Amino acid sequence: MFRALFHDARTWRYVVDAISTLVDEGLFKATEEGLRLRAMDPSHVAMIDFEMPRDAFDEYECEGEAKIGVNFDEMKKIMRRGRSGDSLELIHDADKKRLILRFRGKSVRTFSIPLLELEEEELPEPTIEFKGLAIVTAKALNEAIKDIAITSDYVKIQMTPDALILTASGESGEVKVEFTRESEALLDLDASEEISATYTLSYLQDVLKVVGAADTVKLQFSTNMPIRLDFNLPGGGRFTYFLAPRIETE
Amino acid sequence: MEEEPKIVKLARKKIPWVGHVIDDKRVAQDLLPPDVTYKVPERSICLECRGARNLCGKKQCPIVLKVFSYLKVRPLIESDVLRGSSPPGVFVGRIGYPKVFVGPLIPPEIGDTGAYDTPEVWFGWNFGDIIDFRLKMVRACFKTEVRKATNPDRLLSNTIELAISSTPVDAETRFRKPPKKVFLLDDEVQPMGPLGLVEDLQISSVKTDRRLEKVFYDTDMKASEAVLELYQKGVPVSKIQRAFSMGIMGVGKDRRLVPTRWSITAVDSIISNHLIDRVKDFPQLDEYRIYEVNYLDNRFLVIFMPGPWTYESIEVWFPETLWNPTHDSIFVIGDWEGYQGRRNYARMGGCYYAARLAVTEKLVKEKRQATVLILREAHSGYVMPVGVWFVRESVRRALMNPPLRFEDFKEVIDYIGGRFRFPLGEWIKNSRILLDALRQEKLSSFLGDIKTNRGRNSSTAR
Repeated sequence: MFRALFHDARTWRYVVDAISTLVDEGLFKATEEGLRLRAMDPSHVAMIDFEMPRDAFDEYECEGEAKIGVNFDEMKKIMRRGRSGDSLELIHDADKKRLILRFRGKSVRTFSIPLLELEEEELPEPTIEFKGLAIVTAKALNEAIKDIAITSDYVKIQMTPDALILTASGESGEVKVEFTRESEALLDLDASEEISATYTLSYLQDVLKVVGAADTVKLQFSTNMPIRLDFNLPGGGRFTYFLAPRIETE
Repeated sequence: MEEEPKIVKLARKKIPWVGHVIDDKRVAQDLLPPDVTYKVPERSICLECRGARNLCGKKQCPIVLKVFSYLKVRPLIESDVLRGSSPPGVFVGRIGYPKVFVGPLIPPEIGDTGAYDTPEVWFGWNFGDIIDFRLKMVRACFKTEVRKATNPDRLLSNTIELAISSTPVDAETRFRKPPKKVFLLDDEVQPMGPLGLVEDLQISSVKTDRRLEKVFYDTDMKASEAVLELYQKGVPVSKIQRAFSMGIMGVGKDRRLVPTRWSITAVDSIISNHLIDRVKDFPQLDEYRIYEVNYLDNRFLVIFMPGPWTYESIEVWFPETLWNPTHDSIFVIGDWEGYQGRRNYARMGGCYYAARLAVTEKLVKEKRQATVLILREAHSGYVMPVGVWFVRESVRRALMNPPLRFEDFKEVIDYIGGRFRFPLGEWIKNSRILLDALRQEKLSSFLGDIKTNRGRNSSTAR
């Protein structure tokens, strides 16, 4: 049995939007500690690790473990009906094999979707050593990626002890976005050496659908290694994204 | 010394929103016009040349070719009365939408004209054959509002009845004046003959196709469901498209006539989206395959690769080919979709969806999932547009041929390089799938072995 109430339905809208760009369907796992979902895209290039601890919810009841398999296209349509000021109630109805989604706001609106029987994916705990870390506002990162998209399908991310730099070049020109220690949008920077790696932009554009729910993003990576993005969600929730790099030719 | 040709990325054509007949969001997205700029082929040289000086550099002047064919039929349609057997075929225009020209295609001959509107049997025929029978069919049109499909007058109801016939229908029509010598020739729609305004239209008794009749009378069934039902019952795609354009399917009050060009892509898109959903449930291919076909001076390579469903189609137009009248530029256009599909209409137009239908049919038949790349090189013998069926049937034919099989990607790349005039490096630069295969790392190389045991996108099998 699982039931939880979250104060802001919009947070879930953005989270589900971002997940739905990666996978068609996935499995939420509810335990006494909280709700969790891990999913990897079919090409094995990117992975989401999403966790909403029980303390992040206003109300939370869970006995044992509930596996909630959903189709994200269906869930996305419903989550988009959430309105400002609505809270979201999630109920796992094991008997009827349904997930109940209830918006509580100016009225009470209840939706339900059938549960999918999915087997759990065994995704290993990523243990990568990162040589650099930066924290930027989610909005600024989103804008930077939009700048890059004008020119290229790929982005080169560099970190020096003094700056986080995003660059791209394409047939139509070049673009460079810098966050230095003076930049208002850069909240923290820690890189002992100069590092750089290139990533596919479309994956980043997809995951950045979650920025509506997050204030800041923590970026961690190393030269020619995957990048890890941590979006902090309200109430202690965590949305972590791993993306594999592209091989540099030059 | 010849200069290296420069390579130009090109976009062309678009089709307006047809949301009112489409209820599947993905299909609607396929038809949504993107924000792209268009480059219209330069045509003014034709004025200077008029077919006499070969200024455009094509082997045969397309205009002469069609005039030639027209001359042969002209004596037959100069009067204001026309009798002939419709294959059956119909035309629904786009200009003036929602008030459009609609009507049957009628050749000036009586007999078994069935093949004239069945692109499924045209593969292998040359330009002359196709143009000859297509352009002698007169579009016997009248103007009507697309919503009239729900409440047809006599002319429209005769046309609908004709359209759902399983065999050619003898028709007699009286025009207000002799048909105008305007032809429809473009990349989306099969060539269409002269246009005449109909005063009256009589048809002989019709042997109705039962499958089409069933969806016609089912006014609760959505248009997209009807399309899929017909497809599953083995109705040829061109026949479904014809019926779709006549608004004979869909929820009663929502039925509309649909311009021929939109109906072609709508049907290709509805069916292939359905097939993609099925493909995603099949195990991934575990070898590389290359299928090839050559037709009307075009070379197609269809490449199947291990991996999740992903699709890309790229066309290269050499100088002095149909849509590339320049002398020194190679035009490249391509579109791509990942596992989650596209969010707007492909820049390259209906051929993207026609080819997508052909490859998903093959994958469903083999119960396999794959990453699919289509490379097409158009050469100077491709002198006129014949419609999007050309791509659908060419790719279908390629997939009937025995493929070459490869163990690794390197061999695939080498083979591509040897089969085309366009340099391999340029193919790679313009292909999302090839670039990703060469450059994009996988998380699995960094996280150790990943076990995925869900049905989807996981196991591999030959």
